[in-house]
Amino acid sequence: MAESSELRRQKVKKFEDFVEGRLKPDLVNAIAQRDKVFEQQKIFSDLKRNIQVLEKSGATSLRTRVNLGSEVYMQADVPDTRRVFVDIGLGFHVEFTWSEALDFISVREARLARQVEEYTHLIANIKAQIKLVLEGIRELLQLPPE
Amino acid sequence: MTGGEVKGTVTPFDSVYSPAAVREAAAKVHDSIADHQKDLARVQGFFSDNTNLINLVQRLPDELSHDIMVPFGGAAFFPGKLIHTNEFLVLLGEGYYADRTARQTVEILKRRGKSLESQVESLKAKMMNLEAEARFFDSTATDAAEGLVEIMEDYVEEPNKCKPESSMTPGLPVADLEKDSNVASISDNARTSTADDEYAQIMAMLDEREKEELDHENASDTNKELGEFETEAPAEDDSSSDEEEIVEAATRSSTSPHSLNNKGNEIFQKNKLENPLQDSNHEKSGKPIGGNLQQYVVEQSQNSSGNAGKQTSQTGFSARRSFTGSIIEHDDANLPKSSSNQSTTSNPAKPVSRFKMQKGNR
Repeated sequence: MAESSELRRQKVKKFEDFVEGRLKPDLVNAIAQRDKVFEQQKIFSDLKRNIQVLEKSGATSLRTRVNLGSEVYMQADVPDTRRVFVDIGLGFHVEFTWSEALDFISVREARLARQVEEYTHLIANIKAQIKLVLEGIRELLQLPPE
Repeated sequence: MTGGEVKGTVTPFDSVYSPAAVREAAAKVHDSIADHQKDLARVQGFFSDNTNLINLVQRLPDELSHDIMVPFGGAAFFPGKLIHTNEFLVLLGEGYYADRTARQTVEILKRRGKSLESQVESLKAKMMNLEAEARFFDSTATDAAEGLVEIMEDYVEEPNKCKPESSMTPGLPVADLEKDSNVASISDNARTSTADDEYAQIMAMLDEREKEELDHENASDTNKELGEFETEAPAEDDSSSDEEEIVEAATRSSTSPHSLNNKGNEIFQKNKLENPLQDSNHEKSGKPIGGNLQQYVVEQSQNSSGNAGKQTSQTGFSARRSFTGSIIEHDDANLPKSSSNQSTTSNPAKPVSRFKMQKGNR
């Protein structure tokens, strides 16, 4: 009996270590990844809105301010706004017209939405695993279910 | 020196500081050092960014415009150029912005740099403290591991020990007595067999010191008197120079060392010798001076009263006191005797003894 209780104690310890050392860091990591994707989504939706505003106003030149760092700004002039360089990932930028850019952005947004879905699924999965293991520990200790 | 019973306690270090607790504390301190290291790296990053920005702001007005890629949101940009290169919009804080020139912007940025620098300094100081703490924990851990023990013993004052000492050395000042008792108790605590011998030695040393001190004091007094005597002597009569000297000590600044004056002073000095303890107000003494002197010389009253006036205005309290003491006890019967006495005492040894007397009685 003493031996079996010792065995059980070791098993509980192993499960707890698995939850603390593996599942919880995984969960934190997955949530951080999903937040990054959310950020990307926001950037592209902003870009889409800006291009739509430009299209509506039909302005071909633009006067804006550039952040030089530490919240110090300087005026900048854009002589031709009809061509825009958009980040397509992996450090590449492609010169698009407005309509091309909008097409690309919609494709990109769809992909980002799918990524968010994936990460949400992953997070749910990890959470379920954690619950499962905790349930296992509870059974090992023969505690009554809550 | 009663020996025998146990007076102190002996505590091994590792019972007070258990190795596990010490290790835990050291780990905590190291964690905190790591945190501060991160903070320091972050602030130093801000600082280097700031320096780079200062350089950039200084360089930008060199050209009328710069070709750049103008960012358009986070993921896109247009080819364009910077214009108005001497106009900057700087965040002052709390959402307020100011239009500044390059030079003014550089000043703002330098001030920011200074505050960052002070942050770096304070972080470094904190880390120094923590590192010292960590070293302390490490050394404590090693001490405990080596089996170091702490010996504590309460200090108990022994009044019966102090009394005979004071009777043995009646002349000793309080401070010395205290020192003695301390020394004695220290030797008690040490419980050395030679404690009594040591004590005797220390007492002998202290007595010697005492004598030396006394001699030294006397010598310095003599010197003082002698010096005064020498400075005053040439201007005065032989017969009265001695007395005049002491009056000079009292009056210091009396500028008319007259022969008449001197005679009057002689009398005062004699009386002072006899009654050195007398203290009274100077105002009281002013009149007797004049009255007594009139018996000898008519003019003297004027001089002495003049002197008295000077003394009140010019001499310090101690000088005044000695002078007044001499006057009050003055009576006519003494006068001739004193004058004759003092005419013979012109040697410098006398003032010394007089001074001593005064001092001893005081």
